[in-house]
Amino acid sequence: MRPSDPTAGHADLDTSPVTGQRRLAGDEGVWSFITADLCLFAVLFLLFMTERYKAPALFETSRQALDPLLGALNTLILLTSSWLVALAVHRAREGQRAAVRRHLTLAMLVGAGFALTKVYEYWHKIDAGITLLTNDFFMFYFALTGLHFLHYVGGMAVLALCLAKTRAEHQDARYLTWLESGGCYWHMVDLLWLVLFPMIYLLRAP
Amino acid sequence: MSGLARLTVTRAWAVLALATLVVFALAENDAPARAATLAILLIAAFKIRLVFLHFMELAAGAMPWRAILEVWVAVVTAIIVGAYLFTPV
Repeated sequence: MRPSDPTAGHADLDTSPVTGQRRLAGDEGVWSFITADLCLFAVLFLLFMTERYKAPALFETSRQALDPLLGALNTLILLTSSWLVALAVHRAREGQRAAVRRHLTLAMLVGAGFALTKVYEYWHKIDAGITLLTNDFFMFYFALTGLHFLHYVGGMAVLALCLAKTRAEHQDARYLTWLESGGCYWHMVDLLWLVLFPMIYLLRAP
Repeated sequence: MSGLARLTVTRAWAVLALATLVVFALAENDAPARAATLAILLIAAFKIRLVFLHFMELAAGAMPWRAILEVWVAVVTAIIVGAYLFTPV
């Protein structure tokens, strides 16, 4: 925090649009994008469950080739990274620039673990001869987790941008909206994985 | 005030991490598949709510966004639980 920064230390700086009883964390345009993305994924979840309904035995035997330990590990990684970003947002409102940098850096380091686990998992599958073309289950497995991975890459880029802005810019209202919006996008990546993991890895046939 | 907000976020993270371990234990044990799977799906819905209420800061109800997320988690859970229950064994 710079002593000369007139906006630093404003814990209750109100920066975002007021909707309903309380201000929204982040930009409304970003929230519209998040909503659209969540709706797209909801349709994909419906398609997955429809195909599973048609071929339950195939989906069950294919599912058993996945390692739930890796899925659980990635859940913990994304949750922890999300938590660090949420703390960074609170620190930014307190004007604690150094703490924001520290939390964002840690969030990216922890978040990088998701890519390592995912690459290991994909490599292991492809090495075993399992690809997008193996069957309907693996088509969904690669397509859904791949689409989610693209969102993850975008999220890591957004976190890097937030970190760069924390280093370069004053902590004014615009900066806080940036950080809150980037944070909410990153939480959405986490939130989607909270559905993908149980739906793809853990739906055990009775 | 912000210290309290950070404590709330940290508590949410601790509950989310614990719930993830419970889910993994349910997935790996010999409990009846249907009961264990339904418990896993309901825990997932609970976790999603914790994320949008406390990490995305919708707990105090910034409308319409909180309503949208509440409906989304209800619809997605209904789709997956419903299809799971009605899929022929």
